[in-house]
Amino acid sequence: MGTLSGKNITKTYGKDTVLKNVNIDIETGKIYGLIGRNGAGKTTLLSILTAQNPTTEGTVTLDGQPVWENEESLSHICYSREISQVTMFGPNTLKVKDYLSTGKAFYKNWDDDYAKELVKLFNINPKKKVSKLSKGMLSAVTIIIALASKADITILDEPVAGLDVVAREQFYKLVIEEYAQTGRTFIISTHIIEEAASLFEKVIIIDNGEIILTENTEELLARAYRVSGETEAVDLAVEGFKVYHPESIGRNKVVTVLAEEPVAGFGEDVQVEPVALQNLFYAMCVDERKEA
Amino acid sequence: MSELSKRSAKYYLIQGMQMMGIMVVLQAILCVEWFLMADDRNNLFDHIIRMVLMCGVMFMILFNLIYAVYGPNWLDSLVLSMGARRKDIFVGEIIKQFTYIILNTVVYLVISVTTGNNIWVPIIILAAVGAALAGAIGQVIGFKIKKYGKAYLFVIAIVAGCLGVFASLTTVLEIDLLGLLRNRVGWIIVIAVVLFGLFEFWSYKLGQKSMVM
Amino acid sequence: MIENLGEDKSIYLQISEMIEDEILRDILREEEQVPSTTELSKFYKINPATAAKGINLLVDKGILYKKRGIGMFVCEGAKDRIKEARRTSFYENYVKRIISEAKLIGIDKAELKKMIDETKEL
Repeated sequence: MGTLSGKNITKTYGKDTVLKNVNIDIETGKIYGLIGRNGAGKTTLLSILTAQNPTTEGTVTLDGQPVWENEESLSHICYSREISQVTMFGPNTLKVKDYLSTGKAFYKNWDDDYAKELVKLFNINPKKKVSKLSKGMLSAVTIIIALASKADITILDEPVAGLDVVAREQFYKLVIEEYAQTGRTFIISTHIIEEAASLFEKVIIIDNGEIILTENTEELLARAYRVSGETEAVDLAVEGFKVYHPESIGRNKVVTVLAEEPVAGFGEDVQVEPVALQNLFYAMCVDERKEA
Repeated sequence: MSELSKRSAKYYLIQGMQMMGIMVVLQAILCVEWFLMADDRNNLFDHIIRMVLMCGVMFMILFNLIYAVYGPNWLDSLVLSMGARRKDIFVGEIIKQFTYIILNTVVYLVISVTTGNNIWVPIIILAAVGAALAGAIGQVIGFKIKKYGKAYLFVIAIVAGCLGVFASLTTVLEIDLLGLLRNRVGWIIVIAVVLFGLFEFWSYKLGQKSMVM
Repeated sequence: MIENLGEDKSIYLQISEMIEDEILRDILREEEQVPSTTELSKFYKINPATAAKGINLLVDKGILYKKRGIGMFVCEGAKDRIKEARRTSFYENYVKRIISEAKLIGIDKAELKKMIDETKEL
């Protein structure tokens, strides 16, 4: 199966432009991480890529075919998002099993045995009403639906929000297992970056409605550095490079550098350390003016 | 019919049957209540049957309206989020509503004919048509609520209020409303069908651009 | 096995080095089976493709070989091959650092030599 592509996607709500001319190609058979601040446009982008939200401008195709209202394309996709515990009419009185049976009805490759296994694993009572679930159980249900869908392209929107660390580790293990076994494509958006960073073969960073990079995680981190030392020495060493989030303390300065290619060295006068994905993301997306 | 369409249709068919199931349970509970509350033991059976028919006719319209309003924002949104197509959802809603209405209609027709309440037949048919129309209107209201918020619920409240006032007025003024309706069934059905078509079309248009909430 | 992966080196390199260490320490013997990429990826919570990259690196270096349908095994002579390769990079990876730290804190050649002479480890 080919690529899920979004071309020139723009989405506006009234005067608000949530996505600006976004171009993205998702190659199948990889685990992607989608990271971005709240309000950056992650959920909007994901729901547009899955035809659950219409674009204001731009097209979404899977294997060259438009995804919108397309049975063939939709049959390969699952977008499991946060389940709302309230509806406009009051609490969401649908039960977990209603969600599971709807998933069974609509996802072509739904694996019911796997779903039942996961329900037991996460200790969920399927007869419970969604409005009565804890945050952790709510996240677990979205995970179960995503995994049991057995969709070729499975997208999870903040699946670990609300999960405690034990459940999170459980989740990562499940994804690795599924991926190792089936090679399904996963796109996982998360705020808990560092834990999941080693899971992502490719990472997509979105900020303010624009994708600022889509890259192989390792290759990205291979060209990111944390350069520190005396202020003048640092400024000299990083001249010509793209620098983010400079911080000063006393006569010392620390900057995050993202070079075009891996750099052999920055000279003897400064210290160079590698940067973790979370810290790189922070450096690139922190709004310097509003920094607390 | 494509595979996805078939699965959608089946899903909505089951939804319609479940709605009927709830109706049956509700009526059963009410029957018990009427039985216990009745003071005139002589015509108890007839009384209960009349109550069942009267409530049945009202519920048919009311519940179909309510479920239709819930659709766009809640139930249909869920289905959309699981990869259903908007056109299948549109068709599905019709399947669900018609299943519900037809099941209700058949049951009440059978009851009224077998218990000698034949005068109810045109009423039941009108109610079925009314329920279908209410469903179409309900969907449009549902979409508007989705877009503009709960305020639109007031529209229903006002409409329901007006109907209530209208009903009580006719009683006070001793207008035989049911009698009037009985005589113009043909016309009423025609108007209702036209309105139904218009609202369904509107609903289809609104649905084409819908997104998952 | 290493408990945690650090951020200083690519993950796949850490995986391959970890396996090399185990071979050097006789925890993994020649002709013994090595954990599969799936097992490794689950254990370290890393992308299976990354684990595979680390394994493949060792295959390219002649340290591991694949037995079809069964898994990855340690090559004969792997231990020597690893030692040889590490010898070459020993100065760059370890000695240079010692010298630079010694320079920083003012330890001279003679002192450094004395420290090495007095160690009972080598």
